[in-house]
Amino acid sequence: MTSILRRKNELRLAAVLIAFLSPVVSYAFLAPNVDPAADRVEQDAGRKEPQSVSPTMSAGAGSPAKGYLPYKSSARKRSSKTLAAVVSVYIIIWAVLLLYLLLLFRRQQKIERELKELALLIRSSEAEGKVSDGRNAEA
Amino acid sequence: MHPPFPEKGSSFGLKAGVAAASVLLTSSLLLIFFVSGEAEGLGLDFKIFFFHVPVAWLMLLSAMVAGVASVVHLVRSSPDDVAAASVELCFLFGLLTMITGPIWAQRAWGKPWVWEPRLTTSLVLWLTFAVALMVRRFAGPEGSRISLALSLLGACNVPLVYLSVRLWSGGLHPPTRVVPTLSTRFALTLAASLLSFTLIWFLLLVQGVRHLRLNRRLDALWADSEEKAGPLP
Repeated sequence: MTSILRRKNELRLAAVLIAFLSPVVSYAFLAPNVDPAADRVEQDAGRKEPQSVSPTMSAGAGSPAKGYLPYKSSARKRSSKTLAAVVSVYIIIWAVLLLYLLLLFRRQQKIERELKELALLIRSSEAEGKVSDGRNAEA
Repeated sequence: MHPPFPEKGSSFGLKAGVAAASVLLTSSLLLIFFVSGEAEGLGLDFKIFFFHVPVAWLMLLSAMVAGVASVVHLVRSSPDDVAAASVELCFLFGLLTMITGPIWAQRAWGKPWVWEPRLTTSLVLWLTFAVALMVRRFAGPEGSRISLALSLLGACNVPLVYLSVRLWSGGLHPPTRVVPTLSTRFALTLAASLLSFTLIWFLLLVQGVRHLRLNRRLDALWADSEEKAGPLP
């Protein structure tokens, strides 16, 4: 029975993992058209110095917000490294949260185990009490 | 007197919460990956924003909750379960902020870490709560009080993290008034993401508090049963 329950929980965890990984995997395969030219430009550019925020950047319909740092090279927008960054952020967040869920799950199991031990102890002490009460009554 | 076993109603609430969080999360993921599109100038990288901002917000929220719960505990001497669970969540979401931030910074600024005001104050906040968590775990019976004091100190840092971009010049983070300037598409996606992550945070907090309460009740029951059984021979 315990092994069935454990397997059921493992299956639940696996289902959660698949459910949360599937959007990003499908996105990585379907949505972005990674431009190989963007990868080449990025390789050539190498590491760049941090740029200061441009407060004059206007917030148009497609722009994220005022003051956001724009890329100097538009080719960097669709490189495979960009896609890797987005995917890794998503995976890291869910991996850490799932690990924490696993920790909570273990804690829950420990509490349940201790409750069972305690219930057994109480039952045995009650049984002992009944036996001694019976002996006293006989005496 | 509290019942020694978990209440049946709380299990239903938890299941409803998990169902609501799943629906919200699925819709926010669809919005992030398939509806929001790309930002002008930031391209695909802007999608990190919809994960990084919620986890950073939850780090600050956990710190504030831990601070308020610490004050309540110190004034009323009530159990510090909420503070303890919040400290853990502040560490967890702080860790996620500290991992996702540099990934985005590498893409946007060309360097994973820059000693600018918001990054520095956030790091100080996260380290404060990391120490608070360790002290609670390993510093013995006085550890919980020291941890509460540290949580209070960490909570005082929250306004500093938020206002750091205004207080100090030379920062790379955008100003605090950035969210209202987002386009409707991005604002909607951010709202959905914030809501789903906050619901997950709340469920984790409730579960953490529940475990701490159950552990305390269990300890009391063990002590009670040992007392009844008498001293060991």
